[in-house]
Amino acid sequence: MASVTLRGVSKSYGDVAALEPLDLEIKQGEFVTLLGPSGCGKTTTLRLIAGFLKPSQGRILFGGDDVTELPPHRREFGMVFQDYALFPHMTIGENIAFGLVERGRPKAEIDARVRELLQLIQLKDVEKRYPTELSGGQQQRVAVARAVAHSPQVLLMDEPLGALDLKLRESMQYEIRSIQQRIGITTVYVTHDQTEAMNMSDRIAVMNKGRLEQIGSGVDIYQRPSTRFVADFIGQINLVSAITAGPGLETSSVTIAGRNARIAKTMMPGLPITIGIRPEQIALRRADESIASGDNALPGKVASRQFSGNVMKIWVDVGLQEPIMLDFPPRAAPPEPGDAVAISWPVDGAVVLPE
Amino acid sequence: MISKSPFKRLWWRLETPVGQTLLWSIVVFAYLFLHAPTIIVMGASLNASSQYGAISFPPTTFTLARYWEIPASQFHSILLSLKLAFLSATVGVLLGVPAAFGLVRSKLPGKGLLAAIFRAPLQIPTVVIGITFLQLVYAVGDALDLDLSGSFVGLAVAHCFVATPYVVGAVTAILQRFDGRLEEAAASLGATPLRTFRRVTLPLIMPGLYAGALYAFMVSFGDVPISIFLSAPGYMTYPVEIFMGLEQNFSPTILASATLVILFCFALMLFVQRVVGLETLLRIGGTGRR
Ligand SMILES: Nc1ncnc2c1ncn2[C@@H]1O[C@H](COP(=O)(O)OP(=O)(O)O)[C@@H](O)[C@H]1O
Ligand SMILES: [Mg+2]
Repeated sequence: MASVTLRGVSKSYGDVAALEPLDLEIKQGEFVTLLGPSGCGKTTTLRLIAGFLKPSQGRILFGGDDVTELPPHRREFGMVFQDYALFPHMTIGENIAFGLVERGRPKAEIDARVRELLQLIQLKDVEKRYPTELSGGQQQRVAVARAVAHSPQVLLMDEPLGALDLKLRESMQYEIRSIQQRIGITTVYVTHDQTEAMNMSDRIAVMNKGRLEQIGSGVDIYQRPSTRFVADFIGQINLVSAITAGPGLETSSVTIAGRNARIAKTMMPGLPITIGIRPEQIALRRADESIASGDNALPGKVASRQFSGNVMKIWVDVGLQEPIMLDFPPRAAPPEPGDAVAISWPVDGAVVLPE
Repeated sequence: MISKSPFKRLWWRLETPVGQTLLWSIVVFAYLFLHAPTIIVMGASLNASSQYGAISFPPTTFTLARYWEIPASQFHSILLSLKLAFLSATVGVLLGVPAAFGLVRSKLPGKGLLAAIFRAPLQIPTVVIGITFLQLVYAVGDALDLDLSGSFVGLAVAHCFVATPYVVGAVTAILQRFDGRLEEAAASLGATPLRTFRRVTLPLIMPGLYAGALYAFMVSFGDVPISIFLSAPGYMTYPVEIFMGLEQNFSPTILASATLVILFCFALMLFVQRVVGLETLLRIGGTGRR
């Protein structure tokens, strides 16, 4: 196993920059997900690591070794493709054995390894079958087994679960992650599905328009997004414009919709900022009820509501351009649209984003 | 009411004994219609009483005598035709497969034009090709001071010319549908480009290669319009020999030798199907997942 390092790696197609200079370090045995909307450069990054693309600039290292100039077949990695790309003319056993055969391993060793891997993916009886005779989920597991059979240093996966339905996708997320942890292989995973990224990754690299926006654990990027894009892309969030009013010791006061509130950050007065507040951070009271002391509060009117199973979503008009959305616990009696209410959130329950 | 639609009612009727009988008669009739010429030729070749200049079917008295009477010239022409057909198929594959790769995979700007040029032999009437090659043979013969008319070289070049586009076409079709990620998968598993070609690309385009080669073989073997210009008395392909024979006097030995050729082609088809395997064709073409 080895780490993967990208140093100032970029890729342009003619004048179009598909990937701006990117620095990324994936530690040995780590599971890092590249997450971002379609066209943000995830596949490009993965194919650069694989060697299917040549970077316009920068170096790529596996472990300490510079592999930038090596063709794909001389880099030690395994890859899982979106629609599996299993060899249709070979049996499942032959598919899994492919990398070992290419390395000229003895037949006995190959057979043993194939059986071991079929065990690992819990498909013992399909060795002699052909890929088209397997279900999508089974083919996916075979693709993973084939990619790791030759014990590569690095495992690359490009939206490997994109073709599966939701239920199967969830169980496959768990399975891929547990296989990855058992063999401890350094993994770069690509998806545009944030839940998938959260479920599986040690760290998530959020990308946008060919740029790396933020890299961190799921908790990091959810609770402490560093850009507006990340805050908006991951989960749901209310983005509120505010003006800083005066710095305190560890907080600053700001003006939101003409009212005072505080943020957990020291800032110069007079700056326009964006505050992000997650719906689950916001509490709702009737206008006449008192709120927890120290929390920020804004009065308003219920604009609309929507029941979505585990929570009731409520939109409250507080005099901003957009109403504030919050999650209301289903056990309490929800307010009606038009009711006068107050919303409140703890000072450290909001993030300050650069404008 | 779906069951009341005329279509459904028809299907319902086809399931009754009367419907089934009707259906089977149509199927049998269609097959008979397609194979009637073959059956009649094969049947007539066994007829003892047939005279020169007539085909009589069904045979009234059976004999294998016609087979012993086949003249050596017919065997020679069959052999020549087989040689040409095998050569056309081989040259077709050797030239056609790289051409197809170039047409599909390269980033040449004039690819569309090139593809049209490769297809051209299929669009020019074969008679025109025959005349053209006759002119060519004369021109080259004059230049080199050789008599190439009625030579193997002249026939071979012309046959390869018309046969190769069939291989190009069949392999191009399969390459256009080829999933490039299979080759990337092979590379990711450590296969060199050459190994990837041998273990992944080639086996997967094999059905196209066989189909193209078979077409090339058949086109060459069955050709009259081109070969007739390039043959010479005593040096004719089998179809030309039959054609000439019919013009002059019809010999029933032609029926016998034609039967042999039919049986040979049938065996060849069976062999190719065995080697390539219909199953392989279906598996590679099929995308169905259970
Ligand atoms: N072969 C190519 N030629 C030109 N532009 C390309 C090519 N491949 C990708 N791009 C562009 O590069 C950008 C990133 O693409 P990609 O890495 O596939 O995005 P993602 O995988 O995140 O959806 C896109 O804007 C895409 O249009
Ligand atoms: Mg992609």
